[in-house]
Amino acid sequence: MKDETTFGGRLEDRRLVTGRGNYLDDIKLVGELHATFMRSPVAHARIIEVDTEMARSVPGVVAVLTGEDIRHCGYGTIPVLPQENADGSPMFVPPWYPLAIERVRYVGESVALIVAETLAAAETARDCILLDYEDLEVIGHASQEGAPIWDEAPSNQALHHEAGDASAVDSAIASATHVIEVSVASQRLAPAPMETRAVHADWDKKSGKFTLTAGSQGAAALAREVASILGEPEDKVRVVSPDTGGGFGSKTHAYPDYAALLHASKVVGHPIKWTPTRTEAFLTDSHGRDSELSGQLALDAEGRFLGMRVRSTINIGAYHTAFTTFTATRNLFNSLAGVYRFPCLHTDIRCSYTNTNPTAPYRGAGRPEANLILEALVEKAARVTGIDRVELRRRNLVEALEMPYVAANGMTYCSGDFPAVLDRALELASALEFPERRNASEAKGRLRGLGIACYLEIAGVIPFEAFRLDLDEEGLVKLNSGLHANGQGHETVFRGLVADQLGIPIEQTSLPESDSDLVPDGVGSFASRSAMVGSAAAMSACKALIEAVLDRAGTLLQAPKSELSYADGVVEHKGTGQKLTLADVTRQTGAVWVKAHSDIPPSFPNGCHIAEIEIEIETGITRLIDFTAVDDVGNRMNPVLVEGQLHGGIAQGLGQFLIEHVIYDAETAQMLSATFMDYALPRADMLVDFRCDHVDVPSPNNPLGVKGVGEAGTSGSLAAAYNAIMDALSHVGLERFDMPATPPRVWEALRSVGITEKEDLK
Amino acid sequence: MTVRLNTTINGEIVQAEVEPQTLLVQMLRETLGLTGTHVGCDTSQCGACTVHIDGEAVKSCTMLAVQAEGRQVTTIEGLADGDTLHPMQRAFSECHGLQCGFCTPGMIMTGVDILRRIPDASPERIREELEGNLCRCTGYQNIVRAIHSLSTPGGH
Repeated sequence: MKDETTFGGRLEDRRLVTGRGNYLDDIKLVGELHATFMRSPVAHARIIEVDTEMARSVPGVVAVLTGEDIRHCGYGTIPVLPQENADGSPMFVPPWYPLAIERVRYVGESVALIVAETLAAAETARDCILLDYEDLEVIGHASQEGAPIWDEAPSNQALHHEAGDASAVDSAIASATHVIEVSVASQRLAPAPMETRAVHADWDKKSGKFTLTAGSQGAAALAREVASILGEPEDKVRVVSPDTGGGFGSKTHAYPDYAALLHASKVVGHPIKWTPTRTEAFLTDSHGRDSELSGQLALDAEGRFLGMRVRSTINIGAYHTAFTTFTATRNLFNSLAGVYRFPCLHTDIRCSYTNTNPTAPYRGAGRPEANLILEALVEKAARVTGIDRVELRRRNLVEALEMPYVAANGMTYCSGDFPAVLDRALELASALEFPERRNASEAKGRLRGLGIACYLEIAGVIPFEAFRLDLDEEGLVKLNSGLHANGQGHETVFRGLVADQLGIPIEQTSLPESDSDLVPDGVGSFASRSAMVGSAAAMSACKALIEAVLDRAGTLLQAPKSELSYADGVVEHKGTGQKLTLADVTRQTGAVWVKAHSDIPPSFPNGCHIAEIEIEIETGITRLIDFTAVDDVGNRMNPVLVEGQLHGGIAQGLGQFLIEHVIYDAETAQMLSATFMDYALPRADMLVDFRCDHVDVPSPNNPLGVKGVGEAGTSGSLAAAYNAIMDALSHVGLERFDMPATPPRVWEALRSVGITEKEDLK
Repeated sequence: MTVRLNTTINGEIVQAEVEPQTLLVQMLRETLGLTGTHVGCDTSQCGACTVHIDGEAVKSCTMLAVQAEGRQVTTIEGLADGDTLHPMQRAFSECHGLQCGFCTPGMIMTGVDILRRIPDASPERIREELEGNLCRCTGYQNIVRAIHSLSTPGGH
């Protein structure tokens, strides 16, 4: 565990601050050709003809491929985690081919792929393709009725998922003194990593092997998905991931584009480079969220929670990615009890197809939604019952002494001190003095709100991760795993961990680009799992490496293993005192590698975030004034990096609250927010310095006692900010508000309850 | 048709043949292989491509390469003094002002320019001055801290 006072930067920083990072568009392969896609200009249509004749005649064009060119290649589709509908029937999974066949189902779907000697030639040819199509009825949002997008899903329902105990919640509601109801939308978002998902596709004639160089959140998982699309054995597809400029969920899964590019590389016999534009990224990188949530919370006369039901309708777009429905349904249910005692819970979720770009897990992936509806209900319950909002929470918090606690959704919370977290957050945010600050704002004619949100989330999720260590003949140790960093600082954290475990200088270790060939069973960096699951695998690999070195040293020294010891990179014969360094062993016996894996149950990061906002009546401008985050992420392997993860996560939750919104035209499902001029990311002056502290309780579920931190910030901040604006708006009688809190939306909301000028506050 | 161009890049005189429509960022990345300057958008919003022209921060996607004729261009590769990092590069690292690193070259070039213009910039002022640069990872807090760590006290 590192001390924050000694932080001197990360190991990866030097190359990144000097412009020597190695991102996808920075790479040039020998003989490389350039590619661009012709994408569907309409949301739903039957393809009559894709006329590529003129495009093929553009000088420099090497190939123009359409769905007709690949339809008989036997290619499959994106592998999707199977789920069952509430009635027991299996979830239908529509085919999503590398290039559209017969029909297009969202604006931006790949219609043709153009390969040329230069990007300019490819783009010119793209604009020469004549697409003849017949418009079909467009389904723009989840609640819209109309003709099926998929014949196999006549009502456009992708999945109807229920979890929990419906009858117990019915009884709880029937016997309750208060039943609180809240509805809120969690709008569609764009993950928008700063680096778009550029790739290089390369087919090797000799070996018949496909190599995709791509930003990813785990090379092995991406390779397996791509192999599944191509219908190839897993060892025929290799993914290599160099520096990756952000992911946030959008680079976890495969896109059909990738298979089209690999196919094209095979056809033309050259490596191909594709760098999407930002607009292309907005149209085709998986989106996040897009759900309508409504909840019912049953309370007795003393304010104790008796049960909760959440219904949700989720617009998943026209196709599934691997985990789209799983995270939307299961992460929500598995995080839904939060930090509170609930006798029973029930969720009823409908995922719908629409003619929009597919959604996929985005930072939090169901967890922010769970905490949003839960905490909105708790806050409203306080307003309705008249019980103080802090007191109401205290009456229902799971106590530290109850750990490990089995929640109503079946989750076993490993550790935590929720009351202490809440107390510390209230103290740090000076919450007791809020009424004075509100009065001061109102005196200036501004509304002010303070929002509290406790959160808890499931982290880790998949227990397995694989870690490989290669010890070369110079004694250098190379790390590889199924994980891949998109900014989390894996070089610093994992090289530090391995160096510490082996007792060698950190300079004797390296963490190169991720390579699926080295760790084909790896899983990946998502669900806040790298530190928790990856560290356990890395530590096992270190033990295995030490054993392998001792075996070899035993042969060299002709001594039984029991007479040898290992410490600080040196094997010593206890009897003779003979010593061998790691390099001494491998120089004489050759390089050695080991691989180990983890089996680590989930942990439950939790915390309490408090947001304070102010609204200008005349303009609807809503400003974030103050933000406090107290988190329990277990032991912190590197406190500075943990804080960085929290900052970024908090900012993404606040981005959803303040300004982010993927907007499709209601009738045509054309995207209206496909540039950074229309889709606003939070900028520095919209945010404040977040005040962060910890009440960390180590997790007993993994060797380092860590809990995962990647998504914690988002899970807490979204609900805290939403509660803050509802605190302000309910003060003037408003019952519902949907994010983002942009000036026109807030302005309209205020006018809907007759607030038009400062004087109306009096 | 190509245009012959004479410019100074990172202290070295460069002669290049470019097509007239070539953007400065394209010339830097593709013709000269200076890939530290990044492209994060198509609309001059993100600032990942920020370089210095005669000492002033400019988004190199908003300028034609031919407009650099006779001018001094500094990219992120030219900021350090040999092996010695520029103080702004060191501050970004020591304040953990970068995560994925993609926006970082532009942020650093902008940070240097902010303090050139406003040596005593306050954290609030730095937040305002960063309006042309997007970061998706850090929430900006440590970027502001990094730049402010080099600002002279008593700022506004």
